[in-house]
Amino acid sequence: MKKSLILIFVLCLGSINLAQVTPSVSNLLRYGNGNQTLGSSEKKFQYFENLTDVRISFPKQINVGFRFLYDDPPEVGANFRGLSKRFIEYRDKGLFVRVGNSSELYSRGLVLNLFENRGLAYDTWIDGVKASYKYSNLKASLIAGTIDFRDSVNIARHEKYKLRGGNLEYKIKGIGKLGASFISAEATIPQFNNNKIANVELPELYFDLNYNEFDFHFGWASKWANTPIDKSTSRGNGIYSSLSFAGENLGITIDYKNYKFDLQDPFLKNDATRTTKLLPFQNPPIVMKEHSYTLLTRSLHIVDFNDEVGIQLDAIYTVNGDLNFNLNMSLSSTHNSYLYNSSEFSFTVEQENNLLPSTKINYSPFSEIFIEGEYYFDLETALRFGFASRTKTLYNEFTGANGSHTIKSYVIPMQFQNSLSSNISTTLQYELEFVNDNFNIDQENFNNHFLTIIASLFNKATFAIRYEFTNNDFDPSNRKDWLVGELGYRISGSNLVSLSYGRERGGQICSNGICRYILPFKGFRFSLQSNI
Amino acid sequence: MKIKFFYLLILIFLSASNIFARGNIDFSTETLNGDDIEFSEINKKGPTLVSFWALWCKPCRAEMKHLEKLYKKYSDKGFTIIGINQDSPRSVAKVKSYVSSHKITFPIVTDSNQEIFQMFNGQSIPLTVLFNKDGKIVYKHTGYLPGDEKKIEVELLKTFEKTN
Repeated sequence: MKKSLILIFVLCLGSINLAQVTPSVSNLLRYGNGNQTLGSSEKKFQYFENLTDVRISFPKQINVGFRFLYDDPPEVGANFRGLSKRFIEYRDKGLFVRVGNSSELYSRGLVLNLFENRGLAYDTWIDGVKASYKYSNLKASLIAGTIDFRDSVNIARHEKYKLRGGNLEYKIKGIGKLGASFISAEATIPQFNNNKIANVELPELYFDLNYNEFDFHFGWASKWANTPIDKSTSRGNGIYSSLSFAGENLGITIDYKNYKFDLQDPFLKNDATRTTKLLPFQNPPIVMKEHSYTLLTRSLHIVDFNDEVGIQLDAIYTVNGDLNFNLNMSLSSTHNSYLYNSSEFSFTVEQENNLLPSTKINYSPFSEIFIEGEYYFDLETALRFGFASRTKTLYNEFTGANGSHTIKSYVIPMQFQNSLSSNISTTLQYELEFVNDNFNIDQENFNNHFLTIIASLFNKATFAIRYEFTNNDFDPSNRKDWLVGELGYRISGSNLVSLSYGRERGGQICSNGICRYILPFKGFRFSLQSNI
Repeated sequence: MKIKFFYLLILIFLSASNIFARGNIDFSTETLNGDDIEFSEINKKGPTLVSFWALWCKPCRAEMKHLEKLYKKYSDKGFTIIGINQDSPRSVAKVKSYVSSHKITFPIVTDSNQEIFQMFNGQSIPLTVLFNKDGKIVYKHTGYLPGDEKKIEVELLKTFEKTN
């Protein structure tokens, strides 16, 4: 361990002095000491994470990189000490070859989207080989290797995949693109005392059309999964399409999803051991808004890629350079409604709904309308004001409407930022949420408040206070308020240090100019981010 | 404990150092308008600023407004900005309409699988990197605080002075 650290340090220092070799190092240290909150229970928790990404560029377009990870323990996920990623790559004109750990994305991710999200401890990077070659308008990509996937939410889910595949894309100048992908994988999925092997094949076809201000994308993917031990085969498919208009003052995007990667009745749908579900290396578009306001990032609708149909409209209108509006509307639901036959313990499809989402309660609908206005008084002073209405239902097919969970909420977010002088600027953000939750039986209606004040001094230091309050007497945390203070300091352009103390409810927080997702925690936190 | 101490030593070195490696970075990609671009070819024409941003990132959007102003002011002197969008396939369809309606005129490319971001060894966005005409990184900042755009302008003017 110690030798590896010394090696990294010497390699970085040494390579700085070699004329032809360019090192690049980024480091992220995070430390926390306090109590972690999970529902109403609290436990003592101390975490220490250090991630060092080193990338060394050699002449002739050769790059070597590795990540030294010290997660003992991390805030989320499993402990790890050692080299977690390493690669060597070569790129020259249209050719690119990489051996080692890689991310990858084919089209919009219907069959392959390998990525890492440290905050959520989600990592589907492959360990193997990937290559691509671009010649004129044609691009071909190949990938082969293994994925070791651990689900941080369900730690029993430790799956391994042997994956190989490819993608071919042809660009028609001035018109669009045509593409096809194929992925084949052998999955090893733990099931109680033994492992189940599943063979999966995923073909994909897609095209893009561009015409003046209009862009159209259509993608279709199919999924065939076979589990020999069960002698079972499952077939599914998914469609994602988008149409966008990019005008001078107006931009409109309409997205559509129709995911049936593993359409099953409620019995099988709720079987967590099923091997035919959407695979972790697939990650198609969610077709709903990704919010940056804190209260809107909570209680999110979880997209079921195995069974969901939905549509989204997003419009941006710029009245002039200083006044902008954003309207976003999305609706999604399951494909079918089912009738439960309690004497036979079986389900029958009551009504199929294959093309468009339904607002009927027995299709577990999710709907959201969000509108935001942004006005710049000048380049340093801006006011943002929004309104969101959101309803989500999780229908219980066994009990019907009485046992179904519906949450309705209205959120009013507002933010004002102002520069008091060339050295001092402030941001004030307030969010108010009205919630109706039918499972919060003794108090169905309650409010949440979120307030944050950020002061930025001399373009170097930030001081932030975040305060939250709820009048929900039955909040799972048994608390009504949360208060955190945070100090941030920029040592140089890309070296940031931050210290915080207090109790955090969690969610996405923007501080020190960066947005991130924070888990509920009470105590002291320290982070240092460096990049050279 | 010793390992943690060793880490601290590395971090003190990293934090205290305000050195920037030579660029040695090159990538070719396609803009939202379908044009193929190569970073090294653009950079030959003059100082180039690379800005990593996303639709969900408010500080990034605030910075973009300032960058557009800088681009308009200095583009006739050979200065270029490349905006590298980091939205995942979840939101990437909305990028073009955002760019067009906000009248962003510098080239925007999408980097949904973060391939270019990894080349820059980025940790978080916004990440803004200024290259001089020789491909050397002369300024870099992570996060956006009001006033950062003034620093960029100062560094940009320095690169113009050195070139002249």
